[in-house]
Amino acid sequence: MYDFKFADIGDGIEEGKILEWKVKEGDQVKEGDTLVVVETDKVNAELPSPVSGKIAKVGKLEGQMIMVGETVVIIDDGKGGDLPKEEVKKEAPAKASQADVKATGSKATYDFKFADIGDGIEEGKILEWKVKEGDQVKEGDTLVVVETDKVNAELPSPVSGKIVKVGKKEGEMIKVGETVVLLDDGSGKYLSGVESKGEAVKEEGASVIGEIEVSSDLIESSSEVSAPKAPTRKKALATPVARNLAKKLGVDINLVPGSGANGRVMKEDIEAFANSNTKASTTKTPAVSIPKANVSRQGDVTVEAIPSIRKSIANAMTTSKSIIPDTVLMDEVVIDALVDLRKRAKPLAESKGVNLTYMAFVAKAVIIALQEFKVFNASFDHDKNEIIYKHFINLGFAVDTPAGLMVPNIKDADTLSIFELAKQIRELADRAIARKSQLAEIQNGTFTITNFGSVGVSYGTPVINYPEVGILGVGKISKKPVVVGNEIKIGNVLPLSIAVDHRIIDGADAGRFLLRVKELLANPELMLLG
Amino acid sequence: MATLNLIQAINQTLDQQLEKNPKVVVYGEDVGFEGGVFRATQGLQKKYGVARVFDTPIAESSIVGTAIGMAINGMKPVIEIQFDGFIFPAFNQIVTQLARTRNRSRGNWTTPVVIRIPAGGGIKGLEHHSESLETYLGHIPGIKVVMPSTPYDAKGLLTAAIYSDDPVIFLEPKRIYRSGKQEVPEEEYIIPIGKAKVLKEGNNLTVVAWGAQLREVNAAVKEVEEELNISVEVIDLRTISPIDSETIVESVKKTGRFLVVHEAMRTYGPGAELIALVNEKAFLYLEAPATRLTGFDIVIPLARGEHHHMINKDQIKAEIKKLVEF
Repeated sequence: MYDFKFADIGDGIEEGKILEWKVKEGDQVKEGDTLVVVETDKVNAELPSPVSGKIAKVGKLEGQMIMVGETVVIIDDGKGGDLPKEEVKKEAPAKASQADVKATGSKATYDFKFADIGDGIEEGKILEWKVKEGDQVKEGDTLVVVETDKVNAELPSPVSGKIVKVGKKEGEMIKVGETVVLLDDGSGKYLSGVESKGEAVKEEGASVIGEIEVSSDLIESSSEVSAPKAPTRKKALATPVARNLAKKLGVDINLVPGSGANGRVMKEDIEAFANSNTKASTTKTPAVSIPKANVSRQGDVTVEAIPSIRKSIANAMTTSKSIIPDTVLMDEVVIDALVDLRKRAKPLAESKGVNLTYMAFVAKAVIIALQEFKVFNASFDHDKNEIIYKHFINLGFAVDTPAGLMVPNIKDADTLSIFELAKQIRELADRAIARKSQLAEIQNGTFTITNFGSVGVSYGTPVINYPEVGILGVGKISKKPVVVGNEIKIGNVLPLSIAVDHRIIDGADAGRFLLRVKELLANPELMLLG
Repeated sequence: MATLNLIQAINQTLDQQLEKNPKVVVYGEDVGFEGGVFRATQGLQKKYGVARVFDTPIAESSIVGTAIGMAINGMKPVIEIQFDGFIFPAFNQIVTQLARTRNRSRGNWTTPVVIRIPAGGGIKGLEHHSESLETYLGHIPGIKVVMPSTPYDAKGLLTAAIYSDDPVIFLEPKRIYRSGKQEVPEEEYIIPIGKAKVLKEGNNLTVVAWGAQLREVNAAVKEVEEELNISVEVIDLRTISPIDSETIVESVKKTGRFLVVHEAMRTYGPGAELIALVNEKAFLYLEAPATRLTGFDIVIPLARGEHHHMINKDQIKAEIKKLVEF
């Protein structure tokens, strides 16, 4: 390589302007041929070639200034050597070092070479080609499976493009550095010759400042046809205030006829719509929303955030009371026979490690009644006007824990004996008190019993555990005067309170259910038959 | 049809217009010999000579000032300001001369200059190399401001800008210069300035974004649609000024919810303008507050902290969820 620099052509000339090139890159020139005409402030000078060879690179473009010492042309004089250093640098491939760029005719090709895939592997055997010549592949597609002495490696394609040539056949050995495939990546970035190689590299690696993400990911093609279409469904015109009101009242605002300007839905329209729907008794279950109360914090008070268990109790109770129009019935039953039975059975139970409580008997009586009165073991879907009957009984019972009320339930309680019920009640209650209940234990209950007798209360109006439809409150057993025949005797009296969802259970149904429970508790031997 | 990345599409457009229109000149810092710091003008000086594609001193005010003079005298300068943050020295020329000549001369003179500027962050740049200019430029009457998000749009909009009788500032999302390729027709075509593009139709929410930000928006929408079983309308604003209010308003009337996502600073940012538009023109259709997701009110951080500033896919997903469930 010969670097021909612009020299002082005499008379103190320091710079010139390139007027006209007589040669271009790639031309063969002989020593003495005119290369270029340079205009100086004194003369226009023709610069002759100092050597014979091929023009590898011109230093300046027509119209540009050239200073003494700058390169006019670089000539390949056949003596070898590289282009000046800075040029070489720019040619360094930006892509993986295993790749090289080669020109085969006008085809732009990418020579993908077999590289050391780790652990000093020097060669491999082509096991299976996943592609053949002419195939289109995407960057990352597996090209070939190569067996080495360590692993079978799948080689992914380094670029997207078309397979021009595969380097080895199946069964042949391939060494590090040998061509795996030649790929035509179609970008035209690797055109022929040394010079375009330089340019291609400049373009792909270009980022003078910062880091630019380079990728050949294909973006979906585009055109100028799409435009927003007219609204397909009717949308109500309304202010946010009106929309909020509709939401509160559980009204779909798009169904409300608007009386305002341009059919705007006014607040009054929404209220009227909600009212008319209530009359027609087709309202949906309204979402629970708690009106904002102005809770005074004045005076000598302390404010304490409640723990999450209390929050969920508050939510559950609010939900139940907001949704369920409940009704409560109360009565009492003389359980002398049950008291007697329990007394006799207790030693047997203890021998089996069971603490036989009245609760287990009440549970059994309720289970039998639930099997007979199926609507008490159901849920109600008001939106769809459907009753969901459950063919399983998960009997819940309220547990008074230090953290607050918990309601675990006994799964498939109808399959258990009274002893088993007693045992499960104890275990579930212990776990609840210790805050060790599993989520499953408190989910999916179908009916609940609450025992407020344990705190000395006889009657209450228990809150239904929504979406269940009934809850039985068990009061304190006490000795009371009872009339037997025409005489007054002392009897063991158990007070019961039942709350039901009046939407699907009428008072008479609740009375019949309660009557059956009373009957079973008064005559516990019937439970054997139930 | 060739698949080009955004910078190649710009290069092809400049090449085409230089060839077609002898009045077109292309210049700026490093634009000539180097072919531009991002190589947008690579090969053009060689092809068209130093009289038409040339380097300038580091003097943005004079780059714009000379372009104004050329434009008034019938040339079509397509100049480059090397980075967004370098526009400020030229601001006087832009605001007081470039944008006002038509008004000042009662329509007798125009200054049809195109200013190309690589804009926005995400490349771990230095200070002054990663800024968002939407508000600064969109506030100036008398110029149009454009920002494409795809190679196809870049060519169509740049061609339109070069054909414009008035000055156009062409913001190039430098972060996605080379991040993907798209089919770009060889022949010349125009995408009208001032027209947004509905990238994807939907019914539950309208998301507006532009430039590089759309990559995150598109990715977020794809995931959130599946997760929430909703459909989201995505609009590429494409022209920052004048705003295509019709496309946005009609979309919000259909979906009832509006989210604008931009990397630019929040306060007085482009999102504020778009929310005001939605509020004025589609108020009665809104089911959730018109909302913006934006960069912070700070100088965009340097490389190490930059990702905190950029709006990512997860943030967009969370905001969409919030609005749909409002």
